[in-house]
Amino acid sequence: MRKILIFLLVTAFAAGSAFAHGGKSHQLLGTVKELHENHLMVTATDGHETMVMLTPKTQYEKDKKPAKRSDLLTGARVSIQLSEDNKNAVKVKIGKATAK
Amino acid sequence: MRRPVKLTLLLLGTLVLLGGALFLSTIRRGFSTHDEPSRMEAVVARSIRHWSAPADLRNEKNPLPLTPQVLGEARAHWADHCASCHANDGRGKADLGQRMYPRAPDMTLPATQSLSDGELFSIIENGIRLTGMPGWGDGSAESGYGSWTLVHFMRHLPELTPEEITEMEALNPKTPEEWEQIQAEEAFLSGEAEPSADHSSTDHSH
Repeated sequence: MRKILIFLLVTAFAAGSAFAHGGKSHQLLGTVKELHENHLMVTATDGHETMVMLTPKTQYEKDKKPAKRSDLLTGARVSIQLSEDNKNAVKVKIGKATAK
Repeated sequence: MRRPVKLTLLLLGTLVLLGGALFLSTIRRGFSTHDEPSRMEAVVARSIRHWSAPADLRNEKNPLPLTPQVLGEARAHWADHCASCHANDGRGKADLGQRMYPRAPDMTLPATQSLSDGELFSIIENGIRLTGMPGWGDGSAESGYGSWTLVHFMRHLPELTPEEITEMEALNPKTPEEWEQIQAEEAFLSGEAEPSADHSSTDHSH
């Protein structure tokens, strides 16, 4: 009886083969160099320029409050939470403009 | 031997053979939490989850009136205790929740929202066996109050606003490394710190 129960339990827990990873996203700190309709160019703090796509799902935050796309200006310091493929901006935190 | 008996025996024999083949294939391949639960497992697990709620609780309505204060308390409670697995928005896309077996569910969907208040309360208080869901209750009035506030919050999940999520993010538990990252980010955004190459791009797990 015990063996049958173990058999049934193992059978019940036989699983599919799909393999899924928990995601890790990246954060990018930098200054907005260029601002376009669907993307922006950011000069990262290490000097590299990176293009980040803005999507309708991108969230904006300024002073720890929700902000709008229009609050994002050229020259602003930003912290961008990127999607898993590092292409899209999931969330853009907008800071002060970099002093020139 | 009569025909129906023969057919039954044949059917049983086929089932045993198929079950045996599945068993052998499973123990040969092994199994891990990376797999997705099979349909059968999901049905069995949901039935067990339904039966796990005490009968007198199953049809109980939330006795706590829904007020902004209750919702605020629950939001803070959720951000601190639940979001690590379920995410602030309850959709389960959290690092821990996605590595569990079964995965933390999307609680905005009918599979969760169709559960009664009493069933949700029972799950929070007593947990669910053979999953990552612990039982948070200790039988006290205090834990009961906290769990009923969370039931209200779970009902509110489909309408959660970006403002509420932002508020919750500040309340999520953080590692010393995350605190350091937040401080560096805040200093950079406020202009207090000059750009540093150390923080241009960092891993940020959720």
